[in-house]
Amino acid sequence: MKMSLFKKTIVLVSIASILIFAGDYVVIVNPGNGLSSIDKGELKRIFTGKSKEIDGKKAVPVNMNYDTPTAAEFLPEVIGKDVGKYKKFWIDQMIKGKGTAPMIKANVAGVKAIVSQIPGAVGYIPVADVDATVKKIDVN
Amino acid sequence: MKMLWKAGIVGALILGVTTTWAQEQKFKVYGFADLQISKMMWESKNNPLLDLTTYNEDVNIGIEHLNLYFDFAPNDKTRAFAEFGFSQNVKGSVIAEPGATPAIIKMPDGSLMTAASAPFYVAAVAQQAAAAGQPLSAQDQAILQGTYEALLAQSEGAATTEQKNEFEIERVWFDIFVNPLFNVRIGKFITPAGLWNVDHGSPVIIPVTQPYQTSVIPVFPEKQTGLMAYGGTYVGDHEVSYNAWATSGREESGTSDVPYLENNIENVGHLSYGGHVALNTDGILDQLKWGVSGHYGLTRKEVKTKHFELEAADVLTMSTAVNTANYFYDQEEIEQRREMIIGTDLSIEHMNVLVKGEFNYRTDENEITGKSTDYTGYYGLLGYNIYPTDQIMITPFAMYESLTWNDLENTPNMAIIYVPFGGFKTMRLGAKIGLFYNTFLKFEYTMTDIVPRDLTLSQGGQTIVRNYEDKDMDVSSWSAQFSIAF
Repeated sequence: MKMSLFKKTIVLVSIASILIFAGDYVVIVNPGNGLSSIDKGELKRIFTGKSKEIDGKKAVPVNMNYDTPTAAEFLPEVIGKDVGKYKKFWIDQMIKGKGTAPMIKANVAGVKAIVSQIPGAVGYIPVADVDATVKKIDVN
Repeated sequence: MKMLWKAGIVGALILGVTTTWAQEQKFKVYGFADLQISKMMWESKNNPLLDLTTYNEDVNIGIEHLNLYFDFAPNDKTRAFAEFGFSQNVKGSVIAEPGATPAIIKMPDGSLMTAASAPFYVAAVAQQAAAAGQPLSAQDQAILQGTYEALLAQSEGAATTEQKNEFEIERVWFDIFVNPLFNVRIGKFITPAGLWNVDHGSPVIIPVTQPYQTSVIPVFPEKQTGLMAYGGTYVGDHEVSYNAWATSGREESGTSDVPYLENNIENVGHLSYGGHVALNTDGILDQLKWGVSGHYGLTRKEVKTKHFELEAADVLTMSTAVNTANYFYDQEEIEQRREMIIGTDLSIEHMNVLVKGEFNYRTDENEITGKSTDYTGYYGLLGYNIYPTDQIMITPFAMYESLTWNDLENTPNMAIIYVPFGGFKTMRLGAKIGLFYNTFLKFEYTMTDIVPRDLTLSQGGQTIVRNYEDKDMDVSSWSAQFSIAF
């Protein structure tokens, strides 16, 4: 059955949206986490210290090394700040007494080790590095 | 056996990861430090500000802040936090110490008058006047002596070979997290009113120093000790947050040598209350924050005296066997001010343009005399962020600030009895350079115009009016600061 031009356009835009947003990283959580997706705004609040819970557990955000392409892609898309502005944001938060920056892990193995063991951990890694030790969730 | 070793290694790794994470999360020490160089330039030595400070045009260098933060979060529901601040002048800097070096009066014959010899000079002048057929009355001689003593009492700052160190507990509090809408803080905290009271660290603020109405002459209490509730919620992507406090009130540093009770709470009516509500939007501009603050407080000072009641028989017989159990304490209110403060703040950041400002109004009512003093303060800052590279940010800025008051003598403060001007207006121009996100250089030029007030002084029973010219009201300064967050 032929698709109308309108429907084709809708499908193509939807696919493009997913591809544009998904990039080369995925958001991962602990395998015991009950979520299958997370709101982008909520994810931003977790990584900026404004939200302290995920799936009823204490949220533990984990950043990739800021020098990696993964961090360089995730931070502007989700947080709305590039690496430099994100670092500056946390310097400001620290001086105000509002907390310190989330932990940073040097590599994918470090991120997955934390996420796989801590119930409320949430991080991001390259798509190709997802395995059974962590659970991928979608970002709405 | 191999499986056992593997299990052991994996177990150790897991333990190491969780232990490291646990240690990483629970206790942290961090802070900031800054070194400041500054120089003031006085247009005139008749500036009324010099009644409160000393004339000094030398370059001053000081470690203005070494602030350490101790942050302990033992579990999900609690957090303990303390900030301690140290400051130290660098040897060789001139310290403006009023009274450190008394003034000298050089007489026409070359002799020097001191406080001890002033009466003899007055007597000599009276003799000369009498010999010339124009005797000075006793009142005139008293006025003359008072004039000489007032001149001698004026002092200049002295270069110091000693280092001046200061230590302050900026804040110490304990948080209990209940839910996003309601959390409790107990302890000494920085009043979360306006923009830059909480953002007091040099790496955060844009100019070298905070606006004067949040630091030098704070309209809102800078710090308080008590209880605070806080929380927030999201309406879409926009955050609405609040802080509400009940405390012992404004913490002022007094210089009086008289020991007194300050802000002691004897009943609920002695508490101070306040709050701040803020809207932080996301999506309308890069950043838009608007807040409203209010405070209703009481500042009290009392002197407590022990009174003995002697029985008539003991007095008549001059008995030394006095019943010392007959005593009571009497408390005398020596200062009681009720302050009502409102303020609003706005912070906008969009396409690298920064706009920040506050408007604050405070009225102090002296509950002993029924008179009041009003303060009106506002400032506006305009800046622009430039990013020459990923690691460098340059923010040129301009800031205008005004703080004025009226009838300050209506609400005397034991620290400052007499303020010979009615406020100030300041213009600052400068740039903040951020290097590697946690290191900052700032340069700033400040021009201050003191607001004059009609002054009448009493010296020797006479009224003296001080006259000022426009140039007497001007003072400027330049300053540079290096700061680092660690």
